[in-house]
Amino acid sequence: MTCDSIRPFLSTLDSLDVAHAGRVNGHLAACPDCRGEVVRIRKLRNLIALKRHEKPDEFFLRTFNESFHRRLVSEMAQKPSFRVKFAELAGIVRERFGLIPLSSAAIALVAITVFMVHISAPMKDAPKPAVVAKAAPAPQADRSVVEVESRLNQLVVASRQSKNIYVLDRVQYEPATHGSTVLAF
Amino acid sequence: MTELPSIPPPPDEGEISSSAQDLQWIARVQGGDTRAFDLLLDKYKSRLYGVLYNMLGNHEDAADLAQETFVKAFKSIGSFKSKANFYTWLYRIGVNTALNFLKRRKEVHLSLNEWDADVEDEPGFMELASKESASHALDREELQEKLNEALQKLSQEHRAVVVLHDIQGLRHQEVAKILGCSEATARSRLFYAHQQLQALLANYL
Repeated sequence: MTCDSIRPFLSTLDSLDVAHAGRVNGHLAACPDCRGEVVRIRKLRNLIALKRHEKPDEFFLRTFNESFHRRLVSEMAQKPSFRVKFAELAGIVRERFGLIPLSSAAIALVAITVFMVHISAPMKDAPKPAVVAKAAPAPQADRSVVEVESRLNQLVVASRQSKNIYVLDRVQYEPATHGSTVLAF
Repeated sequence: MTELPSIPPPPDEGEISSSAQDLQWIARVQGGDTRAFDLLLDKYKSRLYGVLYNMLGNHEDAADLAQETFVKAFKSIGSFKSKANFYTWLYRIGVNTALNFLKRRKEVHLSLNEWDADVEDEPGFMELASKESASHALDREELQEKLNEALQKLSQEHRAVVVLHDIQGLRHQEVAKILGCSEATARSRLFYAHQQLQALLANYL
């Protein structure tokens, strides 16, 4: 092992696994430069450790719980926004089921939204069928049905032209129950 | 093999790992006894404050974010799982709150907290005091300022690793869990942070 490959391990010398510790110690035994680096890191960590002794003042510690309760009551009184609620829900899902199901759910939601937008666009633009209200959809598009629909459309056009629209309001169309379609006027 | 100087052990390991009692208190809070949350506040407020103070560099922001962190913890304690350590969970909320705050903060002002009397027993302090005694007394305040400044010059990610590992004494596995990264990433960040700190604090090493 070279000095460059050893150095990243010197900061964490106290917590290496057995395999790494063996290799690092083997290198250190033969390398005074890296041993010097270990000494410098030890000094640095001792220096940083002084910061453990910085303490908040007594007033802060004495009043912390009371301030916390005031703040909690104030925040609980506020109605959470939709964003906060959504974030909480996402947090719960992530906490309970992990990141992958959360991501999958988000992707599925986006995909469904895109699909719905995509299919709704042509439906808006599509021309409305001539007869919509009274005629039930045909279970099978056989020739007789196509013919009947065609005939109905012709009648609609014709009756609109002749202003006899009321005639079409009484059209009964039941292709599923009758062998032949009956038009009753 | 040549004997190497030992690296100081993490502080208060016994105290911080006593999670069985934490779980009892959390179960009480989850069961509706919200007064039990005060026991968790009392146990962790100083420690959490320490993390935030060293992340942010001043008392006011640290005090404010410590409260915000506990409020968030209280609100979501229902989702806390007993297999996790409470302090790891709390620190994670605290560190994320601090990182979000640092992204928004434009100005940095540093403030110093008092050192307690035990600091004089620290090997780092004794080493420096003996080095300085020949010429002049160790200027504690100056040292504190330099330490704070050096820490604040690190990137947020590097600072977080130093605060959690070197100051709070957490293990790499715990640091990785809190920061949401791999253990190897946490170790690598610590290495680069130490490189920078050695350069920034060269006069004291």
